[in-house]
Amino acid sequence: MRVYVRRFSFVAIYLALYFFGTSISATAPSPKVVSLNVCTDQFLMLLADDSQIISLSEISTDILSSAMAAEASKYHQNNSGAEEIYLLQPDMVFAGIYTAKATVNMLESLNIRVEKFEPASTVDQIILNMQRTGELLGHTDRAKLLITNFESRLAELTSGIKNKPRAALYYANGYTTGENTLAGQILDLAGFSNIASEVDIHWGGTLPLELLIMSKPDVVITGTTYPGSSRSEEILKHPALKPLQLVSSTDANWVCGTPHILKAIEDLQTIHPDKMSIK
Amino acid sequence: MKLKVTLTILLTALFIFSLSTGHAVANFSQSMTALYLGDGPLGTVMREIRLPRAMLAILVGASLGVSGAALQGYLRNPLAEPGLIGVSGSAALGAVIALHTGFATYVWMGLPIASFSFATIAVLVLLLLAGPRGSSLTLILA
Repeated sequence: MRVYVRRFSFVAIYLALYFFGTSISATAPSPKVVSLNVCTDQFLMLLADDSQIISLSEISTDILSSAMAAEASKYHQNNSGAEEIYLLQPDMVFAGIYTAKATVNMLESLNIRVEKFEPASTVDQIILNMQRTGELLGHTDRAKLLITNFESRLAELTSGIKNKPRAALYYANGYTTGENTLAGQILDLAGFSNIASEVDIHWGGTLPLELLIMSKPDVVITGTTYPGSSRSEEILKHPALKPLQLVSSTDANWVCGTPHILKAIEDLQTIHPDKMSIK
Repeated sequence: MKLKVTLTILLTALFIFSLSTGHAVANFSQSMTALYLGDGPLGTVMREIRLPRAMLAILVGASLGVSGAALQGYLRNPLAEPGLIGVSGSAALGAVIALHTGFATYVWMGLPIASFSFATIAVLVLLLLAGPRGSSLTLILA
């Protein structure tokens, strides 16, 4: 019950923020933005006025990659082509640092301001990205409130963890990610220790199935699989994994460093022994 | 006879070598004991990963050897392989169709069924083209 009340208050704050925000934005300079990256899409939807969003990236409505797929469906979507974006006449373009170099260079040479965001993999980076988006959009107060809510909810989620069960992230083709990645951070914040660091994987890499079995993790966390058959995902059905507890948990909330990782942490904690009593 | 014995010994040695190699850190006697008695993680590794792997390698090698011998013997050409008469290509086509239509996902053994039946179709078409009095030469040309 408590959880629902908390969730509801969260929503209420969002709504209040939304209406309050639109009323004051008329005075502040409010640039119109096109986003080329699924993560900056989400920052935009969280912080911008409706009228400030010209267009979002193509995968913003993909439920497997975008945590805000439903909200994104009401906006225009672009295919990240320089020509198309120029014709949309944005005041500013949001892109990731790995967004196609040619497109970004072309836009810059056409005198369009391109703001490049680094993919956030730590809490500090997420907060910095929110701050920066707020400043660029002329909504610093909104960003501040979002950050405060994010921090307090995070503190709530991370408190009261005494044991750290050993967990392994295990994806298609036997891929795993270490503590320097966003998924590793989510795992750590949810109160699990990552076995990838035991086998010297700190970023990402292939974890041989034999090593996974030998390291006896308390839980193996896999991703949501795509429909259809795939040879790379067959390994997740390997009979050798049967003795282990397998949880399919990673989804769109794990993709981007946005406040939606709170949902990912919450989902993961449904199997954490210290947190299960609260649920 | 001598060759057969040598090859069998070599096969057995390689089989055991395959069982004792892998990413998991364990010495030879540990892994062999775990194969029979281990109920910990090493037992799982031995029985679910290494043993199936080694057995699969032998089965695949044997079937490749048999089909190679049959083709090369019939066509009188030591370089013959199934690709020569289009069987591999046809099997691949069947596999791709099964993957794309979802047949492989929804039907048990769907992928092997599709590829084997397409390979069979290729052979039948080939025989049809070669005609009733076809020698091995017309078969190649067909």
